[in-house]
Amino acid sequence: MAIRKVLFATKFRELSFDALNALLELKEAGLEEVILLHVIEREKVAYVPYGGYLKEEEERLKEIAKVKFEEWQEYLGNKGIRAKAKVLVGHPVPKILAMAEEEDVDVIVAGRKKRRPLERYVGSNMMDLLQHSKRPVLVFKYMWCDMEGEREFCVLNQKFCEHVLIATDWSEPAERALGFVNNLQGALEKITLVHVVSEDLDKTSLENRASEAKKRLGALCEDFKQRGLEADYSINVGKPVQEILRVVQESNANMVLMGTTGKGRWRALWLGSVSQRVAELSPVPVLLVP
Amino acid sequence: MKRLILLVSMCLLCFGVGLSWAAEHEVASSIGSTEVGHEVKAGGTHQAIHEKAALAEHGEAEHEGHVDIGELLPLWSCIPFAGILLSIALFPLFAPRFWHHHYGKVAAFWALVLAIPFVMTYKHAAVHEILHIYITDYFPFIILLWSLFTVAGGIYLRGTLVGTPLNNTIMLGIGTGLASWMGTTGAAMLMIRPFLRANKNRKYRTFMVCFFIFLIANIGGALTPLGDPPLFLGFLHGVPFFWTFKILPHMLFVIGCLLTIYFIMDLYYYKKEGVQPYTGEKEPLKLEGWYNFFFLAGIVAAVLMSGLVKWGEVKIFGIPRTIQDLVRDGILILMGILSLIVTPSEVREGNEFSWAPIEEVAYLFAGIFMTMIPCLAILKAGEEGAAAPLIRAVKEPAHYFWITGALSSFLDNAPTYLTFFTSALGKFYAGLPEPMAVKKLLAEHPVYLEAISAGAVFFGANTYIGNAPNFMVRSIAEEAGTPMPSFFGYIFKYSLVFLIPMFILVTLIFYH
Repeated sequence: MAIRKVLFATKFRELSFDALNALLELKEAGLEEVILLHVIEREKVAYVPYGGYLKEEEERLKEIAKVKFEEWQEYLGNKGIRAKAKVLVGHPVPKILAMAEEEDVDVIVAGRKKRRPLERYVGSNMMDLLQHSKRPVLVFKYMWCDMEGEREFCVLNQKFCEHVLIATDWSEPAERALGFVNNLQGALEKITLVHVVSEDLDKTSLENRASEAKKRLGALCEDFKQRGLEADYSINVGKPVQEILRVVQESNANMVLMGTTGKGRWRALWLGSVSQRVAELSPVPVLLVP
Repeated sequence: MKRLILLVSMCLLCFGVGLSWAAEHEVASSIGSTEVGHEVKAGGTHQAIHEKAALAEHGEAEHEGHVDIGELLPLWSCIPFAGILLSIALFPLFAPRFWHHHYGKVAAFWALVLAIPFVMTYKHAAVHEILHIYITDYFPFIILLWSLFTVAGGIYLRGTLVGTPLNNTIMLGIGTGLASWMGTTGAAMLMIRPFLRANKNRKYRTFMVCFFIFLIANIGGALTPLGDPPLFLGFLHGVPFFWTFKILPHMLFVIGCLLTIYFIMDLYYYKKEGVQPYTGEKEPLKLEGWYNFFFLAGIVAAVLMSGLVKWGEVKIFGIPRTIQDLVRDGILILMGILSLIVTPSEVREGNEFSWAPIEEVAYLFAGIFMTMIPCLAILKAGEEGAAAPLIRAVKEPAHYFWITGALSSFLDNAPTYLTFFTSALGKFYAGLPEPMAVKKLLAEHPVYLEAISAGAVFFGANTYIGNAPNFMVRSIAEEAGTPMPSFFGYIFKYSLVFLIPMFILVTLIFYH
């Protein structure tokens, strides 16, 4: 198993090319082909009020995307990666999902614009993609910006595969995420496993859970070490999202790998989804495995 | 650069007009009465004055404000209204990219050109008029459109449809039948994609989409206030829900003729194309999101309810609104929200659902409703207002049918309807409060409102800009690869050939 084919969906925001360049790290995990996709949002060319469809505008936007993609394709070609470019008109999420099925890609990569402190939520397109994708989605955050006191600082996530944090609650989705590690073989060097125990438990239950987690995480670490990977684990008590993000910062992990249950929009809004919240708030790329 | 110069010139012209208007009325108000809304009318019949005095005693004096302003306003106070409607007509033709990105600013510009001098001159009376039109007309209008658009967007017809002449005619017939109950926009959005899918292997598709616009996006909506926005505006102004059934004969006549012509044309082209019978795998037809029809029924019931019960009034910013109207609007919003909650996103994705069209309508109509205030007030003043020559010239029902229709072809039909509805009220019952005038018009001269209603709905099909769903259908068809005629091509090859003869026949049969 390997990540041989990825779908890279882009809006040509700043740093998109840098994000694509960073993806080349996956070459060590077997990456052979990148499908470059740009979706022109229908509203940009259709539904001109009392007009109709801007065919010429569509062709102009397609041409712009084509020119940009040609440059990217040439660059990827020089790096030994095949690249196919597609420019479509429509709603981005359904088009990305349909293209992922059509091309049978291993991972969908969606770029994320640099994050400002006030931008607390991932755009709704990204949320839709995470909720509906049947394939792994890498929420790629090439640049992360935050505030330290009154000073804003930004971090570039140029490496994302070397050190991966895997959050597990022993659920089926979490097991899938653990299984996905095999696909990263070659690019991956270190794994940090995280398990968060609820702070609402009584003392005995808490001790039991922590003890059981220690045993299971220790066994997993041994398994990874036997496969030639560096591995450690962390057991935390508290709220899952906050604890996972804290360990990300403390361990200097490059990426978070999690399983996702794919809760619907309303359910996710009502009940919350740990994986989607982590994808929103994490300073490093997050790979969600459905 | 030329566009910029044009825009700047228009701004200067309009602000110049606005300032001169403000200055003129500042002088007038300093000489005469300080409270425009309470000036004594110079004209008006003795009967009207007596009736108004009687109504004032019953607490309906606030309606007087409309008439007073209408008698004072000059005709050129309608320039912003003409400006916004001409912008809607001309920008998509000559500067579509500019229009696509800046239509909201254009609408806001015309609204401000009217609002600033209007409020400066008439102060409280102007604020009252502005609040009145937004609270009693604009918001209910947009809420209805939004709810129908949202609910209809949750219904998706999946499966294999084969575009034979008979199937196409049946689809057009079904869509036309639905249009009066789910709105022309809702029915058009529901049917256009299955219709295009069914005919994707056909060579000649342009005429099909044009007939789709005629029937589903326009004429099919003539039966109820839910069908077409002008009729809902009539409903908001006191026309009973089922009153519009009076134009059923006109509608059936036009639909019958158009469907027959369509079938013959489609049969001719079907044979000419030598279409082979469909042999591919057939996906069974499935109506996804069918439960949205229940929400649709909820919308119909809510609108009906608001016309039948009387639960009293409340004042919002000093504007009286009936409780049943507020309850209706609340139910409409609820139906839309429930549709959004229970309909899986895959269904809306199948429909390629987008909020863009309804947002555009909301922005543009915010401007239209503002700028139409002087026109409505002048027309309501009847022969006492600045539009007296027009009121006197338009006499017969046929005149109303054609003038409402002709303007509805090139301007949006909803404000056009309201303009001539108000004009008819002004012609027969100048000075009477609107609720009483509407009742009298329906009782004594119903044929005039029949002509205005039919004219506004039917003629909306004449151009791409006559009715909102026309441009949505055109946009979807072009995106799907169906070549559509240009603005003038549509008029000369389709409207003048198929619709105008039909409307002449309607005139001869029903208004002669």
